[in-house]
Amino acid sequence: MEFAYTNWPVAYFVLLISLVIVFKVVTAQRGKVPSIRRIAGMNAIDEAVGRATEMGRPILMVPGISGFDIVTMQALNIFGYIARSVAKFGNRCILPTIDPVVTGVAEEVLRDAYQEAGRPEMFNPEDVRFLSDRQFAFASGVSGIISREKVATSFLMGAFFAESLIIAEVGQRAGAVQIAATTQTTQLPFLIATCDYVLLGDEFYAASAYLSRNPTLLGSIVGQDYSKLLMLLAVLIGTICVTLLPFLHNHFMIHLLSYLIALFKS
Amino acid sequence: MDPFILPLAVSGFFGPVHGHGAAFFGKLAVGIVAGILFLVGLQLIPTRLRKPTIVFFTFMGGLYYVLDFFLPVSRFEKALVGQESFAGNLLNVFGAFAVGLGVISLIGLHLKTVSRQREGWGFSTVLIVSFVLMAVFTLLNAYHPKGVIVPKVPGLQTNITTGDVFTFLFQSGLTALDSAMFALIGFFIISASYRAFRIRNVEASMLMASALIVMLGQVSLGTALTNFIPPQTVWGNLRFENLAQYLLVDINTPALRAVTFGIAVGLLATSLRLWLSLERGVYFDQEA
Repeated sequence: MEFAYTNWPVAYFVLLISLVIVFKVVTAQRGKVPSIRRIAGMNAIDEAVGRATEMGRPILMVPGISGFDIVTMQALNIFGYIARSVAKFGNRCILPTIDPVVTGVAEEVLRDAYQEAGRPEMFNPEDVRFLSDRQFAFASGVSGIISREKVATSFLMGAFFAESLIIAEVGQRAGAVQIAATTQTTQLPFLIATCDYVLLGDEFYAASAYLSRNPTLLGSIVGQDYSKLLMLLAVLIGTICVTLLPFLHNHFMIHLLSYLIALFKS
Repeated sequence: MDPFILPLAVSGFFGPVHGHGAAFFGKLAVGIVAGILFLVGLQLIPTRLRKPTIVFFTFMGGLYYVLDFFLPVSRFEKALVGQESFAGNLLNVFGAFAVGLGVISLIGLHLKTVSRQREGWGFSTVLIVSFVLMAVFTLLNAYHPKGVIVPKVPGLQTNITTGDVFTFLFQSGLTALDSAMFALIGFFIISASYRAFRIRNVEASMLMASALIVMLGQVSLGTALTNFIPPQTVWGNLRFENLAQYLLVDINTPALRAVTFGIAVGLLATSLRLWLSLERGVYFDQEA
């Protein structure tokens, strides 16, 4: 476990950006609702769901393989919105999981989505399946589901590792429209090569705000953007200090630079 | 008097017990009864108090880790740092309960497929038989690894023990199948690359060119192609291995770091929203 005392600049920066995020969330909740830009992958959801319904084929949603953590919760949040759309079209969702805890939560998410859409009878608990807790056994299971059920649309959202290429390539061969989002930067190239739409980096976290237009979520996205702006400012100031220091020999600049170096030290 | 005596006593009570004596079974019984009482208590909470209860437990759970991170270790070592393993064990216990649910769900689905002879029931039979075999021999290997399954008969040099069968199932079965699935990735990369790297426009051409340079820079053939360029000169930068390094270190890495920072900030924001119960999404009622 990391502790604040090992690197106080990082701890202070985390506190600062946390305050910025909470501030923007609170101001959004009080009426100052910001707008966010278009995300291509999210615009394609309705089209992809409609296509699957016209073809009479189900939709696959895979929440990643990282167990029940923040990334998976975010994925299930997005799947809840998508499932409401699927339920309105009267189609079927299949949600395989690698973690038993996620299975329970996912079942409730999908059940609530179908109930909200007024189609509780369409929900089949067997469509939310725990396959295996092993990475490649899970990948084999998902590949089998894609091939046998002939899914028309596939949503791959969450933490993926080596199995991402197996799942995405099998989906590509089955002719499915694939929309992916992952927090693993090492898997982005594989998903970009095999999927139709990919949400990069924090677009994954912005997706639920984009779909729901919830003020809290929109405020949080703006808070995140301000945090990235603060980091950019730190990089800019550091670059200027490093460039001018040999000429100016300013003590304040030296202290500031050492603080910024401690901030970026991993 | 130590101000943290109560939490220390609680975590001490729930600490690990060695052996299978009276203390072990006593704590097991107390834990089960306490767990059932806690669940019954949660069910009895009035509906209007359920959300505040969830908010309270979520906040307290997150508060522990926040205080553990920010407060000085030397002053709060016993109360905070010392309880990290206890907090981790709690999560493992919850996870262990969930494994049972997952197994019941998996076996139930496949038993139904077999009993109704739905399409693919043969594969479901294989799954159930494999599951039972693996479970039985894993348990036997844990408690009786030298238990004889097949005694030494003419033709066999030694007895076949439960440990031997477990090793065969795990290494020759499970591990080998894992490796086979992993090996498929190589073929899938080829087909995905063939489809993705097409020269359709300027960006695609740049992608194709940089992929080619990086691939050639990683293999002996690529380095051999530019081996004639003296490495110590300025022109040495045009050797494939140096070009590949430049692309990976100076262009690719900063971009990946930027994406990673965005992801980290997104993770922090989502965690904050959940910890402070600011989010009213799938797990709570919709915001008014």
